[in-house]
Amino acid sequence: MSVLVRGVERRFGASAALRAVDLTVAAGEFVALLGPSGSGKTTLLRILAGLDIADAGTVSIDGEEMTHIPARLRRIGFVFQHYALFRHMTIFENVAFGLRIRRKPPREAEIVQRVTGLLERVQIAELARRRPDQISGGQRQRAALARALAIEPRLLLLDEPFGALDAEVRKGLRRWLRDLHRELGLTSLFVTHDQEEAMELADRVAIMRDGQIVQYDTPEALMDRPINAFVAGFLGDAARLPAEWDGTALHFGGGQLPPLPASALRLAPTRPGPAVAFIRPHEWSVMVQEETNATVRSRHPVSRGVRLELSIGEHVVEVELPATPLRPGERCQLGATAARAYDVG
Amino acid sequence: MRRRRDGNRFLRLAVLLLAVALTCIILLLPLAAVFTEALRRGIPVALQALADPDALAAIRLTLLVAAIAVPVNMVGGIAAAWCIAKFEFPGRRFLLALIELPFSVSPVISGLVWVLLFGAHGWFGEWLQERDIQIIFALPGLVLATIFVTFPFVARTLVPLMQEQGRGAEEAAATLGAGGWQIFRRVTLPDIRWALLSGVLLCNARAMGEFGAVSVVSGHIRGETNTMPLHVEILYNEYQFVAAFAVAALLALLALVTLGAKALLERHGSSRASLL
Repeated sequence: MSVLVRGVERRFGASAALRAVDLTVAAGEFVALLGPSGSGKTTLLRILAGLDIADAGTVSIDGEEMTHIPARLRRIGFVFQHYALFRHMTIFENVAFGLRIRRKPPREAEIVQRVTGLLERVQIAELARRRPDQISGGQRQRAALARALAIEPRLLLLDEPFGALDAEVRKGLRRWLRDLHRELGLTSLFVTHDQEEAMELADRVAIMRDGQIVQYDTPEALMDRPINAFVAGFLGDAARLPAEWDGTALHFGGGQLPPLPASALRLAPTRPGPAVAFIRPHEWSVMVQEETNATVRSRHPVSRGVRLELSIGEHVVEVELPATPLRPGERCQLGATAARAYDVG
Repeated sequence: MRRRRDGNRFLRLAVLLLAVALTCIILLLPLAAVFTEALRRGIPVALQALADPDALAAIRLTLLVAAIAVPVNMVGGIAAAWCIAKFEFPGRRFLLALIELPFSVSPVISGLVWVLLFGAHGWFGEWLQERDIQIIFALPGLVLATIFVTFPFVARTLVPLMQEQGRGAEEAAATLGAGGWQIFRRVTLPDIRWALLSGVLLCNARAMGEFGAVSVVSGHIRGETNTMPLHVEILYNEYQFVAAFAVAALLALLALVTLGAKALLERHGSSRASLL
C-alpha cells in the first residue's frame, strides 16, 4: 500500500509540530523518520495512524483519502514505543484482541490458529500464556508486533521500535525486523533518533527537523550528499569546522589545517565566502613529522583500529586510523583528505 | 556501641508499644464499647431493639440511600477520573481540586446547600412546591446529600492509577479496531477494577455512615426520613441506650464487613499484581 502525505500541518498551542510536510511512500517500502527529539517525527506517525489529527493537509493510503477516517477504521498496525500491551491479558489474548472485537469475530478455532501462527512468526509461541509483565522487553516488542499484525494491516507503523531495549537485544531484533519486512512485504514506517538504525533498516530515510522533512532519500544518497549542514552534522559523527571558500580551495579557520583543493571536496559551497566543513573520522591524514599542528588528547581502540581525539587550534576532532603509535600528549601533523562544505547564511 | 544498640532497641519497643496502645484506645476501645453496650442485656434484647418498626425503617432507608448514591458515584467517579487522568484541558487542575471539595467542606454545609437550593425558602423551593415535588425532608434530599459527601471516594482512588497507566493501551485498542465502548469495557475497566472496587466499598461505608449532611436535610421524621446514624442519635437522646447501641453496633458491623471485603480485595488484587 502506498502512502501519500500532502501539506500536513500540526500545531500544539503556539509551537508548530509539523509544517507543510510532504511524504510519499511506495508500496512495500520500509521508511525511517529520523530526527532529533522534538522534530515532529512521532507526531507525523500518529497522524498517519489517526491517533492525532492534522490541522491542515491530507493523508491518503493507496489513493484513499484518510484524513477524516478514525483510527479504528484505518486498519493500520501501530507498535508503540513502550509497547502498550494490555496488562490484564495474556500474550495470546493481546494478539487475539483485534480479531475478537470485530463485529463478526472469526470462529474460536480460527482465532487460535491465527494467533498461534503469528506468535510462531515472531518467535514467542511458548509465551502465549504469560502476561506482559512476565516477559522481557524484547519479547514484549515481538508481542506488540504480533498484535499489530493480527489485523492484517495495510500499513505498519513503529514508534521508536528499539528505543527501550539494551544495545545487544536491539541489534538482533533489528536484523530480525528487517528480515520480517522482506518476508511480509508490508509497507512500513518507523520513527527513530538513531541514525545507524535508520541507515541499516530503511529503504529510504526522511530526515526531520523542526517539524519539516529536510531530506528524503536512500541511505546511500544521504551519506553521500547531505543536502545541508544540518543533515551533514546529524549523520555520522563528522567534525564541524568553520572555513572560507574562495572558489578553488577551502581554507580552514585558524589556518592550522592545510587548505583543501576543490578536487578533494565531495560537496563544495555554491558561492565564495564563509562556509562550514564536515569531515568524517576516516577522512583525515595524520603524519608524525617535524612540523606539527595538532595534539593527541586521547586514544581508544575501536573495531576498525584506533580512534584519536586531537585538538587543533580551538577545535577538537575525532580521527579513525587502522593503527598508530601516537599517544596522548604527543604532537602530529593533521590534514583533511576529504570534506563536505556548505555555504553559511 | 553495644549499649547504643540496646538503647535503640528499647526505644523501638517503646514506640511500638505506644502505637499499639494508641490504636487500642482510639480505634478498638470505642468499637468494643459499642458492642458491649449493645449486648449488655443479652442478644435477644438487642435483636428486639433492631426489630422495632422505626429501626427497621431506618435500616431500610440507609440501604436504599446507599443503593442509589453508590452506583451514581461509581459512574460519576469513573467519568471524572477518566477525564482528569487521560486528557489535558484547561481547568483540569481546578476540576481535580473541586472533586476534593466534599472532603474539605463541613458536612453541615454539604447538607445546607441542598436546603438553600430546594428547601421551602430555597432558590427552587417555590417552583418545586407548585409542582408538589418534595426534595428536602424526603428521600431525594437524603440521596443528594449522600452523593455530594461521598463523591470523592471513587474518583480519588482512580485518578492516580489512571494517570500512571496513561493512554497507550487505549490508543493501541483503537488502532486494532475497537470502538469507544469496547475500549472502555475491555481495556480501561479491567485495568482499574481492583482500585474501582476498593473505592466503591469506601464510598459505600461512608454513604451508610454519613450523619452531618444527612441530618440537615432529613427532618428526622421517624420511620420515614431517619437513616441509621440519625436513628441512633434519637434513641440515645431518649435514653434508650441498649436500642441506640444495638443499631450502632449493626452500623459498625456493616462498616467492618466493608473494610474486611476491601482488605480481601486488596490482597487478591496485589497477589494478582505480583503474579503479573
